[in-house]
Amino acid sequence: MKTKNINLLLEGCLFLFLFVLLMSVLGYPVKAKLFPLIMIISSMVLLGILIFADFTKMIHERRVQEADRSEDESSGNDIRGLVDATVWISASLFGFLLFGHILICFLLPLAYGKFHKESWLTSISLSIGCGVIFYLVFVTVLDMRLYEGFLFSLY
Amino acid sequence: MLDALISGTQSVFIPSTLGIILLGVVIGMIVGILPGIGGVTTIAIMLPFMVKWDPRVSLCLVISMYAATYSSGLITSILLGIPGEANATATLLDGYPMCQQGKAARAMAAGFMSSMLGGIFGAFVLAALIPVARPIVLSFSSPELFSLSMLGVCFIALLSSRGTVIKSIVMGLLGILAAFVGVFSFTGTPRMTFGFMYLYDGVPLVAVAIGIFAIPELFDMIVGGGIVKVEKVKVELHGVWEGIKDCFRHWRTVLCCSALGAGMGLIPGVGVIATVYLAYGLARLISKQPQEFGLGCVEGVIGPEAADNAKEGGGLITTLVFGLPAGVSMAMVLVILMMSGISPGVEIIVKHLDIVWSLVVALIVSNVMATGIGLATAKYLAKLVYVRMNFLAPIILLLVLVGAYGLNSRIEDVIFAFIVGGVGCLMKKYEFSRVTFIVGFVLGDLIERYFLLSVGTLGPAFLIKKPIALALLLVLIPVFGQRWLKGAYLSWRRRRNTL
Repeated sequence: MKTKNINLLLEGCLFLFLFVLLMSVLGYPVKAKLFPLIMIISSMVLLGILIFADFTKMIHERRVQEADRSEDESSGNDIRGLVDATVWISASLFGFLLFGHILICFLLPLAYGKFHKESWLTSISLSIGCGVIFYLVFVTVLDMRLYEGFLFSLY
Repeated sequence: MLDALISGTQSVFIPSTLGIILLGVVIGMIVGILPGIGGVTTIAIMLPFMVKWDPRVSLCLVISMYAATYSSGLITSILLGIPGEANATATLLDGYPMCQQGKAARAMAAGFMSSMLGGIFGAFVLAALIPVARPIVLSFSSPELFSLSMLGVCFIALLSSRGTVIKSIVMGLLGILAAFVGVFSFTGTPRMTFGFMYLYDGVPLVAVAIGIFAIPELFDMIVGGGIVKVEKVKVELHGVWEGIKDCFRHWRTVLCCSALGAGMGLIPGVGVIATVYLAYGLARLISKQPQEFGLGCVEGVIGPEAADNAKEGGGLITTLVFGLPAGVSMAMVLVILMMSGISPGVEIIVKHLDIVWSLVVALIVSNVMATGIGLATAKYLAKLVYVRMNFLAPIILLLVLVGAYGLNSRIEDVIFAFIVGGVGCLMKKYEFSRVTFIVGFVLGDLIERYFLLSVGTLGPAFLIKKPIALALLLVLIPVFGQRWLKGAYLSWRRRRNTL
């Protein structure tokens, strides 16, 4: 049930977003707005049908009240994993913005390994391996310019 | 045509391209076995590095990677009972029992050999259909091309809809809308940029591909964690020749299933899983010992593997010539084409026919390479399934960071890719079709151009004036109608049962 609620919420948000888009498109010259308008209106109509269908289905299922609690319980167990993944991905992005590519290539595998209960030896080996391979492949072989990081760009 | 064939063939048989094909095969073999990372995710991560390459080379890499991924999925299916890729699920039905009977090597050899023969068959189908498709495409004008592109988006919506088809179509339309972001080339008007200078050049395709495909898979990998828990098996690699001979012994199975696979590849919207199970059924139908199926029958391995690899050849023709991607993998081929500034259809047929021919040859070469490497290293490759997510996740995360930045050396691209990644995670979790979105996004510009040209030349009622264009769109009515009726009937039955 929780999943369906969020689904409905997302569809509602999408509908609102399309409405904002519709308002912004209206001011464009005819040629520039013709096709986007067709697409936006079609999307809004289809989304409207979808929201209506999902809403009626949700009401029907709420009446029947099937064993949806088990779903809620199992999704409760997943929350830790979801938070873990969100934190790691966001932290990597912020770490990358602050320290740049080279440092994050060493830091991320080390931190990730240690946090997930790998031994120091494994984590350090993975970290050094990643750092060296990334540097060799991307800087030396592919001649790519890597991001130096916000902190290092100050100097 | 002959010039293109010669030039295309020559471009493959140069050391650098052969090296790229070999690289693609090796990467494909690895990702086909590694849990949690598939071919499409790998392509999404690799896109930024391929931007500056010759499209012929990047397409050869992608094609060889797919060929190897399809083949290598059978290794874990047979040895461990775990399909490396979804397409290897049918192989498991007879491959794993064969392994338990001590015939693992025979099953793998038969699987690899039939994959190779199927792949080569698919390449020949592609080659044979180029001269047929060329005049058809050249006779098309803007209205037909508009209908064809819309058909592509809708078919993909049908294929990839896990929830409702309407939801999938909405994603396709949103993808088309996303393609309009930026300065409109006809009038110079900035559209849907909301004042962000970053969006004036349009939404970067590579950042979107990374965000939509790579980050959600990475997210799931971190959420899932751990390793695949299976019993380690000792593999005795005897009976390889027997497996190879099996393919020739059951040549009818190889041929029929390859033809089925190539035919299915030609129909946009037919998934790979449907194809391999149909091939399994066909193999059983033409077998002299159908009662053995499911107990370790070699034909049960040969059939699905041949069909699986043959599908690629069929899928390439609709993708390259008509711009109708048959599935997710072909959608990524379309992404690479568009990234290189090549439009599918008339442009590729008239100006870049050599690319199509080089893909035909690359398909054959990569299938041969994948079989050779697979047979030689299967025992060792199977161990990759034990690689821990704790090792894979940070490496993929780093690749995403390097890839998103490396494209234009702009930090905004990285941030944008991660924002799209967040949206992609929601799309994956709540079953908003990501593939339809990306196909809509890739084809959006072309669709609008064809639409405006059609309206400009024939007026708003252009579809009525062009019966073929109208017929192409009308094809959707029975296709969607049947799906809708089936859905309505099932929900009616469910409601009736609950009351």
